[in-house]
Parts: sequence; structure tokens; C-alpha cells
Amino acid sequence: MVVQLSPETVSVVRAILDKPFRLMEKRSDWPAMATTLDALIRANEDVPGDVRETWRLSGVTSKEAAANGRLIDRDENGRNLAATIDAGLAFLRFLDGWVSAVQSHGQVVPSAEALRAMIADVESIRSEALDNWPWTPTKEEWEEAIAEFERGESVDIDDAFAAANGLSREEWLRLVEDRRRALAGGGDR
Amino acid sequence: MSFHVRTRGDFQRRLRRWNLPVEVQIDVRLRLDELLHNPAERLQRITHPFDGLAYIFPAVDRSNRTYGYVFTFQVRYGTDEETLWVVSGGYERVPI
Repeated sequence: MVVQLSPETVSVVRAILDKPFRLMEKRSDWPAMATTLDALIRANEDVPGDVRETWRLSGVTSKEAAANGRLIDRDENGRNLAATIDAGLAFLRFLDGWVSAVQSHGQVVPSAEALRAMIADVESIRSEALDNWPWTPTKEEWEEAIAEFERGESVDIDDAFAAANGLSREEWLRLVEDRRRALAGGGDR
Repeated sequence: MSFHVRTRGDFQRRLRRWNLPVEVQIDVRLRLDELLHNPAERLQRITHPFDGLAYIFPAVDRSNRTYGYVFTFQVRYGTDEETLWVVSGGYERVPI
């Protein structure tokens, strides 16, 4: 059974699989469960690849929109991407939960290590894709920020860049100026 | 020629958390200066959940061409109209 990555599908698949797994658990048929789990893991070894492809396609849409000055709903895109990644993670963790149960009864699931590597891979993709996602501030956050600016509570952006990079303002501005000159001279963008 | 770009006090902390190569940060800084020219062509109006402006642009990591970035900054012009307020921002990291 190869699982399509959507929250709805994963939820249904988990419900479908849970019943026979519970039955095997009740009968202590751990060898059968180990065999079933191994087959499921192998059939779904492309989950990290599918997640990465979803991330790439989301990025293609964003890049094209940015290049063409087209406004897209980045919050919705972010939510959809998060939902797809989380569906993949939920499915893999569901399998891992049963793998742990089977292993605690002395059974070997040959693909168990591969499953844990898949989970780590998808967690890493989630972090890379979403940790700094440009979520739109709420109205309250926006108004609070504007009030700060109006009270004069702001910093020069070059001071912020310089400090974040452990540079003096002069060193930072020199780097910016060097790059500006390189671009003016036909440098690589 | 450039104009004043100001941001919130926590922007430095956010930049550190972004953990971007300095080359990418420099390109972001230069992109903000580009708003001096034809801002109307570069800025997009946001009407929800607040009335504001968004500056969205792609960037590349010249040291790692396997990834690109799409930055989004919510901005507003200061009352003197010579200052750009960078209110918030973030980016999508995009595999190529």
C-alpha cells in the first residue's frame, strides 16, 4: 500500500491499518506484524522524496509569482505545505510506533532503521522549509510594530545587519558597497 | 544614493536566527535600496489583515546554487517619506 500524502488520506489509512494491527497485537502475532510493517515501509520509502517534491513545487510557484510581481497567498501556501509534510510525518511515526511494539517482542523489522532515517529526513525538510516562513503578521502585531516606529523605537537596518554578522557598521557598509559595484559592473545576481 | 531604512529592535535577533550566508544578506540589503526607484512597481498592496505593503523578491545563494530564496518584507514609508520602515519579514527556502 503506497500512501498519497494528504492529511485526509493519511488519517483514513491509519484508521484502516490500525484495526488489523490491533487484531495481530491481540493474538500476539508479532511475526506477521513485522512482515506487514516491513512491506509497508518498503512500499512507502519515497515519502521523503514526495515531501521534498511538494516543497520544490511550492517554491516554484512562489519564485514565479515573485519574479512576475504576482501576489499569491503565502500564508495559504505555507499552511498547505505544512499539512502535507505533517501528513507524511504522521504516517511514518504511526508505522514507527508499531515497529517499536514489534521490536519489544523480539521481532526484527529489517527496514526499521530506514524508517527512522526517513522520519529524520522529513523532520529536517520541515525545519528547512518552514522555520523562517514569511507568515503575514496579524493586525495586532502590525499595529504594535507601527506604534513602535511612530514612537521612534527603531534601529537603522545597517546597524542590525552589521551586529547580526559580528561586523562594525563600516565593515558591513564596505561589503554592501563592494557588491553594489560588482553588480553595476555586470556581476552575477 | 540611498534612503534611510529602519527596522524593529528585534530584527538583529531575527537575522541571526535566519542563519543566512552573508552574501545573501548583502543582496537583501541592496534589494531594499532598490525601493528608492519605482517603489510603486515593486511593492504589492496588502489589504488583509491590515492595510500595508509587501516587497517580495527572489534571491540566490551564490555559494550554494541548489537552493534559492523568496523573501517577503512587510514595509511602510515613514512620515517623512524618506524613511522606509521594515516592519516584518521572512523567507521561503526553495530547493532548485
